[in-house]
Amino acid sequence: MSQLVLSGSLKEFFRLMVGEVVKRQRVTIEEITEFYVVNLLSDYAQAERLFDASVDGRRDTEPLALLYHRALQQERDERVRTLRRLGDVSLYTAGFFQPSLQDRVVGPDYYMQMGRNAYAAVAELSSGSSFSAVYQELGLKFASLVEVLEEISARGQVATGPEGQLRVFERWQRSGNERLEVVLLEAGMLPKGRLPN
Amino acid sequence: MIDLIQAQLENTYGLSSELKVSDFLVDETAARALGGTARAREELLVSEGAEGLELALYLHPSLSHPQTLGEFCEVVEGVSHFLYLAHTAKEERRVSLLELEAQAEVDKFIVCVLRRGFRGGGLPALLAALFERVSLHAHLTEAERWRYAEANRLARSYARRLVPLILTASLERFLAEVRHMYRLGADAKLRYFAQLRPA
Repeated sequence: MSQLVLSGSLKEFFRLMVGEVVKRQRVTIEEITEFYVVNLLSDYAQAERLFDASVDGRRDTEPLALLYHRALQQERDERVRTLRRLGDVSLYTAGFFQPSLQDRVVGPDYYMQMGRNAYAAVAELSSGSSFSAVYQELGLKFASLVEVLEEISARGQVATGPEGQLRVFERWQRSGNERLEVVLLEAGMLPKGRLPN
Repeated sequence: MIDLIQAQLENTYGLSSELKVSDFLVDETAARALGGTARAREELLVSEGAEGLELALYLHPSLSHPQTLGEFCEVVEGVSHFLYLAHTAKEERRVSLLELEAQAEVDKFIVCVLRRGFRGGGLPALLAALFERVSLHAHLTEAERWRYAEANRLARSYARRLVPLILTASLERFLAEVRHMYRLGADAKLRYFAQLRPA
């Protein structure tokens, strides 16, 4: 982990991290799709790229319904941009903020549905272009990619110290999620030998 | 039936329309001639001519005497679309399909609640029937399915927020609330539907 953090740019950090987690979770994705996810993570790591409005002094994201509504009324090029943003925000939020979504009326399933539909729509709108296959893959493998991001988020939290470790530990206790268990095991938070070989 | 639904929606929202929806009903042949697909049992036909908006409503003959809640709601949907388009045209405002569909979903809930005497009994079953046990027509495209699903979700979110007003029989507050909602513009309305605070 420390090696990765020291490896230079944020993009390089995410490139290594995504590659590692994709491999560990046995998710099969094209290199160009993996590259797209890496770019997405390094872009949204800068909060202002994800949050786009200041409501009562708080940064917030535009509701997905409004992004979708705007896309419906736009011409092709603008629509592609808005739908791509809808897919990106859904993927990032479902992957990185999954725990906080559990307590909301709009849960992770909604983000999954919106994200999948958005990427599928972008793929259709850009059919014929070289990127169409990327969006198609993002839509088809949306759920797997959310799990990849969820693990990256957990690894990042564990690396921040005891408070982050505790959060991941509590999430694992609540959900029994095996990926979180592996993260905690590797961080030395759980005694070895808990998982079957 | 159509006239009664129109009267109920107009009274609820405080609308005064000079148009009578039943005067704009067309049969399948006329609907096809006007560009309709007749894929659905209810279809609002809209064309924008030099003299303004032209509207016609197609309802399948089986809907003339609805036998089920689903059939009744199809009629409400047609009337809702007609009235909302007429209302926004009068306000010289463009309307989006998502907004139109979400409004119709809310209208179904409101008409059903009022027809049951504005009582709280059976509300969970009504919410489930209108917003949870929903199946979409097989002929819809992926894009249409997405739009209907999102309209349904937004309307469900808003309908749930109306429940406390129904349970406390606050008809005056209920009417004030839904009249306010009805007049919101597209973005404001969808944002309002999506928010979580009580109405």
